[in-house]
Amino acid sequence: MSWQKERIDMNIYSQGEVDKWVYSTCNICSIGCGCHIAVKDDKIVGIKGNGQHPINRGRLGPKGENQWYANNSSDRLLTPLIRRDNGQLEPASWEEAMELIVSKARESLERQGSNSIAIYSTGQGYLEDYYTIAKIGRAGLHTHLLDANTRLCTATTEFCLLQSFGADGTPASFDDVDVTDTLMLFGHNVAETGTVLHERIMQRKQREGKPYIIAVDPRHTLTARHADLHLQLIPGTNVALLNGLVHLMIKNGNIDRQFVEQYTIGFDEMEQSVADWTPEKTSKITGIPVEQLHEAARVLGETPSMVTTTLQGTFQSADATTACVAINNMHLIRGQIGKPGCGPLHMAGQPSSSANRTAGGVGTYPAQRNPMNPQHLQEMADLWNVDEATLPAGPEKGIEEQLDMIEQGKVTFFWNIGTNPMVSLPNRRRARKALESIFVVVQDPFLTETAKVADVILPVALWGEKEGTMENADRTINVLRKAVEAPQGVKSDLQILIDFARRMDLKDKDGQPLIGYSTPEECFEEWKTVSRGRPCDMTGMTYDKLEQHNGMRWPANEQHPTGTPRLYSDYKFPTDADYSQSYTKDQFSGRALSRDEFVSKQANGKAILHATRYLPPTEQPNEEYPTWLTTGRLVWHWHTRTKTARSPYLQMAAPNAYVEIHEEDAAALSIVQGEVVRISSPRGWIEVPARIGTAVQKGLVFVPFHYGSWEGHESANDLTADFTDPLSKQPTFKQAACRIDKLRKQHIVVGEESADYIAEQYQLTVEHLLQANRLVTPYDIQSGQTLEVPISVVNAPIPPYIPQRG
Amino acid sequence: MNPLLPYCEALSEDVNQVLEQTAPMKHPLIELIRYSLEEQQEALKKLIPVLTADSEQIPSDDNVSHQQPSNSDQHTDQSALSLDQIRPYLSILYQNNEVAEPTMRAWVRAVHWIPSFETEHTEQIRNRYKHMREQLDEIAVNLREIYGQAAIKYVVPTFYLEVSL
Repeated sequence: MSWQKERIDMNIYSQGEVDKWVYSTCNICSIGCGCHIAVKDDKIVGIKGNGQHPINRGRLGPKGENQWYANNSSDRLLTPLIRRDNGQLEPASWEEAMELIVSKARESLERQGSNSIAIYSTGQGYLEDYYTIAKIGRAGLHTHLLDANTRLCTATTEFCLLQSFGADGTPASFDDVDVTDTLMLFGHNVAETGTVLHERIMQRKQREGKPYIIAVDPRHTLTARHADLHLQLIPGTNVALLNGLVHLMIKNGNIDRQFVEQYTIGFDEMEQSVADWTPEKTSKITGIPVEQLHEAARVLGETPSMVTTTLQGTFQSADATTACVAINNMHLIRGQIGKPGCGPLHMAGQPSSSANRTAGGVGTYPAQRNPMNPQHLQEMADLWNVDEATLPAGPEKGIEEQLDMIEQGKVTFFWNIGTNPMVSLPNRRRARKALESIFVVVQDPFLTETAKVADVILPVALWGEKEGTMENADRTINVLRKAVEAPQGVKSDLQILIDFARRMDLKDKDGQPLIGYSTPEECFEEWKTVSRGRPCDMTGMTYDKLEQHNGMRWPANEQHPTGTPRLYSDYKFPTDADYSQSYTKDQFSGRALSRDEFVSKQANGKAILHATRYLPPTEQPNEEYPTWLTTGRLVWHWHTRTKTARSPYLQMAAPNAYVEIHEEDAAALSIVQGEVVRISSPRGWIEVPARIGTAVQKGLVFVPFHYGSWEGHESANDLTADFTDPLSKQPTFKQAACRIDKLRKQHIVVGEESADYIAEQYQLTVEHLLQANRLVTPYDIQSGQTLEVPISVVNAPIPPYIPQRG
Repeated sequence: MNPLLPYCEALSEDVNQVLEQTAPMKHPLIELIRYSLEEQQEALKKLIPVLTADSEQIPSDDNVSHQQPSNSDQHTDQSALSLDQIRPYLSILYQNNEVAEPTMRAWVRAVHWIPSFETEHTEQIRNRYKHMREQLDEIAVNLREIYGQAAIKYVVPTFYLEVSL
C-alpha cells in the first residue's frame, strides 16, 4: 500500500474520556475511509480514523471529520409530518403517516397500475436498504421505476462498464493507483472530492516521483495544479480529446495487437471512428495545443502501466458514457487492464452509490442481472419465490424520464428516500412543479428544500444510529456498526421499508411475507444468496469478516476468500449473453440492443471496443447567453449540505455560493472582486458574489451546486439544463449557457465629492469604485460624472484545504 | 389483414414525416432523434412487407374491419406469423421510441430556451411523437392478444403494457 505509516485524524468534543469507540466507515464521499465513532452518554461526540484500514490508515477528510455534528443537530426531525388541508406540514404519528402512505400507494396501483409508483433513493444509504427497495419495488409493487440520485452521480460508471465489459464493477482499485506509472485523472477533481485518496497519491508522488499525473479538466483545479500535465479542454469536448488521443496512439503504433486480437472485439469499427481525429482537428475542437496532444499521447502510449480515473467532469458532461467507453477502449488497445497498476477506475461520487447499483435499487436487477434476460428474471423470481410474470422487464428509466412521466400523469406516487432533489436536480423548478402535482413521500433526518413538495415526511436515523454495509468506489464492502440508538421518534430506512411491506401485505407465492428478515444482518445474509455466482458474489463475506479484514472487495467467495483487488486478471470478461448484465446499448443513441443483436457481436467472454462518435453539447453559448456555465463541488461541503451545513466548522469555511469568473472576463465587464452579479440562463437566475481568478478558463464560469435554499437565489440548479446522456441518462450539469449581468446603481458626482467620500457612502473601497468604472486614479472622477456603483460587494474567501499534513 | 399492419403503416407515415421535417435541422438532439428514426424506418421497411404477406394468407373475414384490428383472441385468425419472425423489428421500434421520445421532449425544451432554434415544425413533431406512441400502444395490445403476455414480455417494454395485479 502507498501509506508508509498511519496517522489518526480525530475530531472529538467531549468533556472527559469517551465511553466507547464503535467501528464504522465514513459516510461522506466514495473513498470509504475506515473510522471509529466516539460515544459518550449515548451520544456521538466525535470520530477518529481507523489506523488499520488499508484505504486511509487513519486519515479522514475535512467533511468526514465533521460529519457527526449533524447527528446532534437541534433541528433533527423527531416525528412524521403530514401536509394537512391547510397546506401546512404538521406533526403526525407513525401509524397515521404509514397508513396514509399505504392507502395512497394502493390507490395509485389500483387507478394507474404498477408503474405509477416511483421510488427515488440515494447513494448514501446502506446496501441492505437498496436491496430491500429492489425487492419491494420489483417483487412487491411490480414497478420498473426504481431510480436514485446515483443517476446524477454514478450512472455513467455503470453503463460504460456494461458497454465495454458486460458487467458493472470497476476493473482497477486503489491498490493499482499505488503502483501505476501514469495516472490520468479525467474530469476527476480528486483533491476536493476525495481528499484522502489525493493525499495517498501525492504522498507516493513526493516519495517516488510517481505516478506521472495527467489532469483533464476545463478548470485549473487544485488537482490540476498538482499534475504533470494539465489538459485544459473546452467544456463538452471530452470525446473529441479522447478520439484525438486514441488516433495518435494507433498512429504511433502503441497498440498491444496480441491483446486486442485475443481478448477484444470491435477494433476495426473503433479505429474507423477515430480515423479523422487528427491532432489539428482535435486541437481546434478541444482548444488544447497540438504539442500537448502529442505529449499526452506519447505518455499514454508508452507508459508501462496506467490507471485512468473518472468522475463528474466526465459523468456529468456531454457524451458521458461514450467518453468513459473511449477510456475503456484506450486501456484495452494497450492491454492495460487486469494487471497491477493498470485499468480504468471509474469512480463514484457518494459513499454507497455503488452498492445501490450492485443491489439493484437502481438500474438493473439485483446482483447485476439483466432486466432483458428472461433467465435472469426467472432466477430472481425463484430467489424471491414470486411469479416471474409479475417482474417488470426492459431497460430502466432515469429520473428525468420519470419527471416526463409525472408531467404526463403516468406517475402519481413518488417516494423520495435520503436525497434532496429540489437542490440536486438540474432545472430544479421544472422538477418542483412536477413533484408538486403528485403525492410525495420524503424520508430524511431534516426538513430539506424537498420538504416543499412533500405530502408526508418520515424522520430517519443517520449514520452511526443504524447498522449496515456500504460499497465504495473500488468495490470494497465496508460494515458500519451502530454506535447509538436513533433519537426517540426516529426510525431507520430499513425499518420503514419493512413496515411498509408488512402494511401493504406484500407476500410471496406461498403466502409468506415478501420481506422475511427484520435486521440488517439478516438482510445481508439473504442478499448473499442473491449474489451467489454473479460478478459481485459476496458469499464469502459476513459482517464480522468485513470488520476483521477492514473491508473486502467483491467478488469474495470460496475462490477468493479475502476478496478481489483487481478484476479481469484472467482477461475473461462477462460478455456471454447468458451471463452478462446487459445486452448493451447502441453506443450513439442509447437504444437497448436485443439479445439477438448482442449475440451477433460474438463477444463471448471478450471485451468490446466501441466506435466513439462525438456529439457536441446540447446547449452551448449563444448570442443571448454567451458564456459557458459549469457546476461542481467544494472541498468543504457535501452535496446539498444537509449534513455539512450543520457543522459549524464547515459552514464557516464556505457559507455561501459564488461564481468563479476568469480575471480577463471580469476585467472586460469591470466586475470587482466580491461584487454580487446576476447569472442568468434560460431556466432562471441567481445573484452571487464574483470570485475572480484564473481557475476557470476565459468564457467559462463555475458555480458550486451545494447551495439551494428557495429564498437565497444562489442555487446552481436554477440555471442548469435538464438534458441527459443517451446511455446513462445522467444529466449534463457541466455544460449550459449563461449570461453575467452587473447589478449596479448610478451615482452622479456632485461638487467636490471625493473618491473616498463616494466609496464610503456605498461601503466600497476606492479601488473597487475605480475598478467598477474603469478609472485609474481618484483624480479621474469629475463633478457631474455618472458613476456606476456595485449594489453589493461581499468578501467570499474560501480557505484552502491542505491535505498533506505530514 | 394482420391487425398490426394498419398501425405499422401509420407509424411509418409518422417516422417518414418527422425525418422529412428534421432533415434541414442542425442540433445535437436532432442528430440523436434522426438516428433512431432512421433505424425505425429501416425496421418498418422490412416489417410491413412481412405483415402484408401475412395478411394475404389470413382467411378473409367479412366481419373484421381492415381499418381497425380485430379484438379476436383466436391467434390463427389474426396472424400466421410466429413472434420470432417479427421480433427483431418490433424490438427496434420500441427500444428506439424509448430513447427518442424523451430526447424529443428535451429538444422541445431546448428550442424554447434558445429562440434561434425555433421552428415551425416543433408542435407538429411533438404531435407526431404522440401519435407514434399511440400506434405503439395499440401494437402492444394486439401483440398481447395474438401471442400472449408472457411471449411479448421481453419484446414490448413494461411501460407499454401494465402488469395486471
